[in-house]
Amino acid sequence: MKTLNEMRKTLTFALMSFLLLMVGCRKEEPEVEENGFHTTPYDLQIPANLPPMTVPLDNPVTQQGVELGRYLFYDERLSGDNTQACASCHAPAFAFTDHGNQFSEGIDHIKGERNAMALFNLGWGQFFFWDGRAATLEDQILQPVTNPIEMHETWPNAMAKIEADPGYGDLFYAAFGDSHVDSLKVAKAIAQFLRTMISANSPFDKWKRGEGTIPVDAQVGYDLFQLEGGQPPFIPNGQGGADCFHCHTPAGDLFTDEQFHNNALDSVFTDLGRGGVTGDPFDMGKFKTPSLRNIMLTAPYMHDGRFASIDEVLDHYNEGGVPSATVDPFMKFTDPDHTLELTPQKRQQIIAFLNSLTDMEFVTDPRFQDPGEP
Amino acid sequence: MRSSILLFGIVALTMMGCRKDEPVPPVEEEGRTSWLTVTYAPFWEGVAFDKYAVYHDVLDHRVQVQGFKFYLAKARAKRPDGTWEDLFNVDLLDLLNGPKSRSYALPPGTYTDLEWGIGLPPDLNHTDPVTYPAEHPLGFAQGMWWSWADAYRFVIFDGRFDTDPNGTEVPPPGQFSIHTGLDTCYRAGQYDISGTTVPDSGYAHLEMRIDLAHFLYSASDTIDLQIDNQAHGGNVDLATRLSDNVRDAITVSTQ
Repeated sequence: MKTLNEMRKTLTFALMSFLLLMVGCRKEEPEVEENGFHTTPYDLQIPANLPPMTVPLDNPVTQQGVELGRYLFYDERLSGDNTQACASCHAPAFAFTDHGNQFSEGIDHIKGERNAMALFNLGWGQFFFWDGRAATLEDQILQPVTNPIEMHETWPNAMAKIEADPGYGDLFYAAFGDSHVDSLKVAKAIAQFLRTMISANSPFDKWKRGEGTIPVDAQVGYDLFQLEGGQPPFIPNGQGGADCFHCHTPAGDLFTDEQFHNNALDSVFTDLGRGGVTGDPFDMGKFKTPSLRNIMLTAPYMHDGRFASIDEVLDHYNEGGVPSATVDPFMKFTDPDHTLELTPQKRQQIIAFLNSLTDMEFVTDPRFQDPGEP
Repeated sequence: MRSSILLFGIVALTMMGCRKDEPVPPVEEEGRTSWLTVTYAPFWEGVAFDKYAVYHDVLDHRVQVQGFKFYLAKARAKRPDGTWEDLFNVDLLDLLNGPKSRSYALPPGTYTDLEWGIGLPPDLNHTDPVTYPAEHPLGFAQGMWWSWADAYRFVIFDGRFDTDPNGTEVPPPGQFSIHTGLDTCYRAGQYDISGTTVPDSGYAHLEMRIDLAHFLYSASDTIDLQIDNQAHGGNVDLATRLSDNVRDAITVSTQ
């Protein structure tokens, strides 16, 4: 038979256990790492029309990591002469592209040969850069800092400058349990920040989720976007559409298939694209499909920014481009006698649809703007 | 005191169960020690397929295959007593660069038959890619979703051809792009795997051979790429013919 003392102990333990249970089931449970510091999971709030995001197990998204990553994304001390940050070529108002520039200019005033890619929804990316040479977001972030035509800095120098700023010590400790700065922590923190940059509140998204509407022209443009191009008999299953959906697949509403294609820009490749990475002749002249989200904010277009406007892009696809050894089978109109034959009305409807993909809430979201000094 | 420790332990275990982000191991990994390894190997008329080669089809057209992916679904293996063991629910195979092997957990024992679907059955075909991570076989990043059909492509067969058998252009100048999909293109494949014994701990092996030359002909049908070179959903007749040919191009043997 239990004594009164034993019963008290039992009740005390039961109460303690219940309280711990309540704490343990809280959504934002602080994660206790091995060395005793705490991080708080960041609630990514994936919109209903986007797929689940797979986050690397070795770099979970935490509130502390995201805060640190945001400071680092805007920190010009990651460049050789302290004048360029990631944000210098990835500006929020332009859907994190380079202010309408065809090519970005590094700290030594050398221009690159590819157009700065937009930064959003990178948490779903399978490859990074136009040629997919980085397999992870973390790998991608490590490269521009040391690229001689971009930020042109060494990582030891960059780390020393960041570590010398007393404002960063606490931020690194809060994110990683260690105030020492290293390049992997920098890459991980910026990657966490980038994974929070989810663009899914355009008028199109709201229409898809039943939260709003888009103009009828835009709805017709979306239909055209999803229809096969051409007409029988040249294209037996042609539907008179714009033929965009093959590569800019609306699956998961991300408007990219995350694959590499040669979209008939050149017959002779001055930029090998994916082929330059793999060495595979089948990959020559292929580039990663960019998302069409926020497309009206990200001019100029293509990997080399050769088209200044959406009209020029539509001209290219309407005329069909040029044949080459690796041209994609979806580019069915490289024969000049057979074009996509988009009428002016269809073009206007497609542009109306593309306009509906502009997410102003995303580009003005205070969480993604420059936080100032750490 | 002992009862309170027990109570605390139970509650602690309950708390562990509340963790949202606890990784769930895939079914294949759950303590299984017996496996069936399937090597998926592409051929052209019985010779190992080489994506850089320009082959001749039965109509003597020059053919270079540049894209080739397909789904297998609802795979299962049959025991001698007639019961079935599931092998996998869905897999996407891209064999353009050569053979691939996959190992699937399977209880030890002897098996006599293997069956799977080529393509996706309706319950998988009409799921939304938004419900899968990007890298899942049914995820958006596989490039297999046909948004206009609210369904997936089952087989992608792309490449170049030349009707001149003596042509020299590489790649050949003509393009073909034949994609099957829609529920009517789903085909069942059944194979005799008698003699397959999965050990208590270890692997049994099968080889699936898929002969791409046979995509273009069968005993009763020949696809002439000069005439039939595009199918993206609308050309149901061509998609149906290719679906039949792909089914007949697959053989499975024990190793």
